[in-house]
Amino acid sequence: MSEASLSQPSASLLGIPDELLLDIVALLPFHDHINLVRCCTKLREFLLQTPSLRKSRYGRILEPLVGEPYWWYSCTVDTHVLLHTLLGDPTTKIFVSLDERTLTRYLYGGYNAGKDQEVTTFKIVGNSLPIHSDGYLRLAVLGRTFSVAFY
Amino acid sequence: MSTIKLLSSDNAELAVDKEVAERSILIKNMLEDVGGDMSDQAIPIPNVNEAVLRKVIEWCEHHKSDPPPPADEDSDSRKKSTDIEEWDQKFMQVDQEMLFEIILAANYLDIKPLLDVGCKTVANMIKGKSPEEIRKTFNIQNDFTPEEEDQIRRENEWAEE
Repeated sequence: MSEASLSQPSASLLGIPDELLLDIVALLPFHDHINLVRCCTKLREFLLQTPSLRKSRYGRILEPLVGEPYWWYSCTVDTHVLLHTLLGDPTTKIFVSLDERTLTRYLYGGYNAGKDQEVTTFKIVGNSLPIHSDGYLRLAVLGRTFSVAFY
Repeated sequence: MSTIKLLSSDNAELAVDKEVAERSILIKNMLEDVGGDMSDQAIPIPNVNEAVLRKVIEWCEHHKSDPPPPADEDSDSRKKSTDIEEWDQKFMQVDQEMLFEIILAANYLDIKPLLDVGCKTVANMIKGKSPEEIRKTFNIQNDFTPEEEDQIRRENEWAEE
């Protein structure tokens, strides 16, 4: 039983506690996340910024959903990270959509995104997942190479 | 078979087989705490009204012989599938308010398999729908300004490639 459930939230998609909304979202493939983001402010903020988007009852939301046509990853700790890859496709890309505040927090090497850089798209170098033994994903960002940790 | 009584938020007293009621981990723990004897006293369920409680009991009765859910929270079958068995699909054919009330009740009463069915039902209602269709399905107001909509469209252009 959660504390949220004790406050008798309203019986609607937007009224249920975040932990339950997260359980529902965790069952959906990536493109449905994008469509939810486009629905309304609450769902957008929930999917992109909610700190509780860490772990659903179904396991880490970062885990690949085997059986989907792609792997999707969504949301590390207190930020939003949306990673998407089409495996086996020669044009394989991973995209990370971050705001500049998050970008600053998540990129190593002292990189600071410009204030006017609201969203940055990252593309993978090469055609395979460049996950190194140190657990970091090597990404080329605007011509520079950074490591983005995900877990 | 012993029977216990549950008291809904709107003061309806419902008699339930103990075995059925114990599908709820909350109730099971409460009974264990009092030594299992609640034969003459109704257990208050303050967050669940009679109509919802009756539905939850109906589900528990149908599933009373089910094996307990796996202890592993990350069970593959649970996290990767939105498949719902036929009886549960029919059970969940209720109006949306009732559907979410059942989810909230399952969460409160700690009935994870019922919570799973509820979450999967809602996920299936979202799956494959456009933002507009999701709004219509769940009666969600589009509260974005045109500027925000334009920004969101640009942010997600990459997903459309």
